[in-house]
Parts: sequence; structure tokens; C-alpha cells
Amino acid sequence: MAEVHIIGEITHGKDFNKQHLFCKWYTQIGNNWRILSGKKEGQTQVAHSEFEDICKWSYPIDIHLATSGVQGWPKIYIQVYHLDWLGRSHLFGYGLITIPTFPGKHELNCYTWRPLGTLRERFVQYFMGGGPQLKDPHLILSTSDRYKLNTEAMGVVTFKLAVVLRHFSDYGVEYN
Amino acid sequence: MSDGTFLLSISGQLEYINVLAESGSNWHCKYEFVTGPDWKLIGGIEAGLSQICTVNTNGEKVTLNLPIEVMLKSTNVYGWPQVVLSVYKEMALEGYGRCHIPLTPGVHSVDISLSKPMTSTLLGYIASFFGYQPELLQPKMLATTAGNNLLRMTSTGSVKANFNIISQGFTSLGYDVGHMK
Repeated sequence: MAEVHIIGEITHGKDFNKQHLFCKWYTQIGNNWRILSGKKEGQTQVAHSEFEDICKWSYPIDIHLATSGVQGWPKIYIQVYHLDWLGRSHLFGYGLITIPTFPGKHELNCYTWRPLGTLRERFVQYFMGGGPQLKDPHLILSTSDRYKLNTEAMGVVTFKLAVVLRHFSDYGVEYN
Repeated sequence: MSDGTFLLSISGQLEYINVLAESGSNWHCKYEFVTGPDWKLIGGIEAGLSQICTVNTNGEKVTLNLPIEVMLKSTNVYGWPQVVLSVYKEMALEGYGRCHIPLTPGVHSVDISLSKPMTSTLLGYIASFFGYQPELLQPKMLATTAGNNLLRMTSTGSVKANFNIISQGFTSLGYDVGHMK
């Protein structure tokens, strides 16, 4: 079995129009893949900054995967939420990144989006928060059902990941 | 190595703390390493405490120049070492920071961002006007991520660190860390 290590961090989120953000992340892998150790999902702390418009999480990620085929290469999908002063959390973005298939250090930007409601819903959202959410988060990953959505752009979440591959060349897999 | 282990040498220093430091304040910093279950320390110390640095002019860098020197041994890349920093002004916490040790051999300059926890209670909120600052019982929980979904943090600055990484027996175990940089 070839092995993949994903080591790094969710560095920060920026260009969101509010602070006090947290990020939930999940890994998505194919059937040939198995997680040997490490968490496959998690949630960052709620971060904010007084002087700049960046939420610095520096949340560590360390996943060890084994695979018997490259199909279903791991992806990480995220959900960003804003925690308001009443302790309610509001959806502030969905996003997805593909783990690079090349070993080494990578800085990845995840451009997030969220569903846009009707004019009435947006009016309510502006004053009260909330807003439409995906019932099934797999819509973030699917390419076939996205056309049903109407979305708006949210901020950028930056990942700094190092990828380590093991035994791939033993199986004749060429990645560089 | 034939027994399936590899060695990792980390040497470097914590150069300076980049925060809003007013003149006359005294700063110090603690570092500790957090590794996975398969990792073993075979040289150096895994935790250290810096000197106390007094700031002379407002907003200047708080120079630490604290050396870090560790040798680690492992059979598994999982649980790659992380450093957790705790920065204190006088005796009050000013920020925690964490970062992974770079994976590729070579010289790396790293910016470790600092943040400090905020109070979660009304009493704590009121007390924070009088100088109360909550601290983590175990700062290592930032590296293990257990329970940090309960935290609210404010970012306070950053620490500049330099790491020199040497590994041995890494590629012969079949690992590929990409281009050496």
C-alpha cells in the first residue's frame, strides 16, 4: 500500500466581511483510501483580530492515509461560520480544496461561497443573520448538482500543507 | 537505517517577538515540542524558557535569540513535531503560538502567529477590564486540537523563528518529501 501524509495547518481566513470566524473541516476520500491515523475532521477555534481583517487560526492538520489506487485522491472541504455576540453561528462559506498530488510544501487558497437566498431572505439575513444552508454538504463536492445553486462569493481560507508520499514509485506511479 | 527509523535534527532559534510592546515592559517566552506517539527525543531538551527581555522604545521588536536544538527519532511521519509557544508580558499571558517543524531539509524562516484566549463568562469579561487574562492549563492542546472548538481567541502578534532541518534515513524508507529547498 502506498501512503500519503498530509501535514500542515489551516493558516487563516481573510476577505470575510466579519471577524469571529471558525472553520469546520472534513476530509473526503475515495473507496481505495483508508485513514491510518489522525483526525479526518475537526473544528478550529473562533479567531478574531483587533487590527486587521484576518482570522488567524493556525490550526494543525496531520493525517496519515494509505491507498491502493489513486482514484479518489483526498480532498478537504470546509464550512466557515461566524459566531456573533449572542453566541449564534451563521454560515459564512463553503469551500473545497484538493490535496496536491505532488510532495512538498504547498500554500493553497480556498475560495469560499455560500448559497444566496431570495430577495426577501437576503433582507432578513442582512438584519437578523442566518440564511440558506446546504441540507447535504456533499453538494460542496459534487460537480453534477451544483447547477441548482445560486451563490455569492465569500472570503478566502488559506492552507499551508506539506504532502509526503511513500512507496508510490514502487508501484510505478509517476507523479513528477 | 535498517530498523525502520529515521532521524530528524532540528536546530535553530526563536529570533524575536513581533507584538505591540510598550517601553518598559518585560517579555519572555516558553517553547515546548509536541510529537506523535512514535516519536522519541534522543538529544536536546523538549521545552525551554527564554530570558526576560525589556523593551526600551515603544513598538520595537522583542529580541529573544533563543536557541533550539533537538534530535528526534521516529518510525512514522505521523505526529510530526510541532512547537508550541507561550509568550508572556510580565507574568501575564500575551499569546500562544504553534507551528509544525518544516518537513523539507534546509533552512526555513517561519512566522508563528500568536493569539490569546478570551474569557467566556460575564464575570471574566468584566474582570478582563482589570487585567484578568485567561490561560490554558495545557497549551499543548493547541497542537493536539482536543477541545479547541470551545475557544475564542484574539490574535496578538507573531514570533519569527529559524529552523535548520536535517534528516537521515528518510528517503531510504521510501518517503518522498518533494523538492529539497
